[in-house]
Amino acid sequence: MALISHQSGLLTLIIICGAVLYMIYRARQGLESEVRRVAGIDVIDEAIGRSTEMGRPVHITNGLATLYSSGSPQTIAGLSVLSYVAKKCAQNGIPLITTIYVPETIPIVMEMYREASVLAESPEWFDDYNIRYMSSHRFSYATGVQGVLQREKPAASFLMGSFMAEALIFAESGYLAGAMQVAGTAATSQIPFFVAVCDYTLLGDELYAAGAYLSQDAVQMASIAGQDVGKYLAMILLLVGLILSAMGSDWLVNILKL
Amino acid sequence: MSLLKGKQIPIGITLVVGLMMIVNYYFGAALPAVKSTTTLIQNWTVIVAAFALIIGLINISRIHINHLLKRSKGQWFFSLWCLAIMYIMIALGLFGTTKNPGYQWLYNYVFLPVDATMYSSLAFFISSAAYRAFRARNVESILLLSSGVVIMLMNAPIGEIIWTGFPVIGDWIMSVPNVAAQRAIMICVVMGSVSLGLRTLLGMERGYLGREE
Repeated sequence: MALISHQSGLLTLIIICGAVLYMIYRARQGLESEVRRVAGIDVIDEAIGRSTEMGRPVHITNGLATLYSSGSPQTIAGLSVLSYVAKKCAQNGIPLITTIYVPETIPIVMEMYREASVLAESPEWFDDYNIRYMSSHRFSYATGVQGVLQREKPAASFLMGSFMAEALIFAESGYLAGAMQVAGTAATSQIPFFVAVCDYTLLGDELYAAGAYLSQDAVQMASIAGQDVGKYLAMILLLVGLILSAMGSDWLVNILKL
Repeated sequence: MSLLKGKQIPIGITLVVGLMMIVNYYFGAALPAVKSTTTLIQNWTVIVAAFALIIGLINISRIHINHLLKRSKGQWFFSLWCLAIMYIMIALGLFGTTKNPGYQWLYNYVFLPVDATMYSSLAFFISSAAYRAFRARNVESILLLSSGVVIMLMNAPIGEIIWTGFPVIGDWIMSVPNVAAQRAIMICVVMGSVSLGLRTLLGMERGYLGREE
């Protein structure tokens, strides 16, 4: 029995982590990395501004993934966006309604609201009525979110996290409520629905990059540049695999299976 | 005291547990102690998260009791209904287990049909979304429209009757461009996950901790 399982995966992980750490090191030395603009993240401020002008609330939900499931990175990334949105809403003095499926995120969201109200020097902004746990059953949650969107008519709705069939219910309800919608998910089965309905969509890794991108911290931004090295590696492997496969060789496939 | 106020302790726990999970994944076979420890931690996580449901229960109760007390217009009777059903289900489940006939009846004849209704409403949402998305405004939307029509005709029995080529083209769209695009996104997602995971382990990404400082 091999002492190390998934050897090729470990090697790839080391290469990607090495690249990310190197980019972080470079940033700490004062060398900034260039990161492409992501329209879906840039537009978050515009959506909150729209809500402020219209005097309507902002809505955000972080999807279905629990903090101990394989989809948890999406929830963590969504929470980073929530933190940013909460601060902006508190500054502008507009309500932010957070609808929740994962109960363990309730205290986290409460902390974010508290911090946002403290930073904005607006303690009255914190209202735990706006932090609404719906259900931990998918369609009960969907019904609750749909009700909030229909009744409270938010001018901006952010759908950031892992979603399944209920994604389109949220997006369509938001559209019918007249909300400007920004969605972000790594669930490939739901991306087409968001692209079709929402104004802006963060595709896959763009959601993961959102927290670092919104922080505008050079060191965190550098980590996004580091992950691009992994993408180049994937492209090279794809190209080599394509050539070898055309030549009838399974060598690379066997190596990657190790 | 400042250490307790700051985020060093949770970040430290995250780092240690995160590294342990990675070590377990790759070296678990050689390190049984790490394997058993990570299994134990994962079980703890599930138990702690289950307790979070109580927070959810308190949250729902506070919101709806507030509506009841204020007699919120157009809302208070729904709040009453929500609270009544929720606590009846909890009581039946706690005192009679989920095998309780009352619990089973509510689950099978109230919850499941309503749940299925919500799911089926998706068909109408898909239609209205498709109606807006499938407008030939530019080259991309023409591609979306044409591939959507072909896939629809591939799945509808009438498609094959109209032209036998629809299933062939539809199958090609699903298995070649569609899979290629999905895999490209998946590869990027993996890279993003690694980067996010590293930022989290290093304490740079602190969204999950609530407060930044």
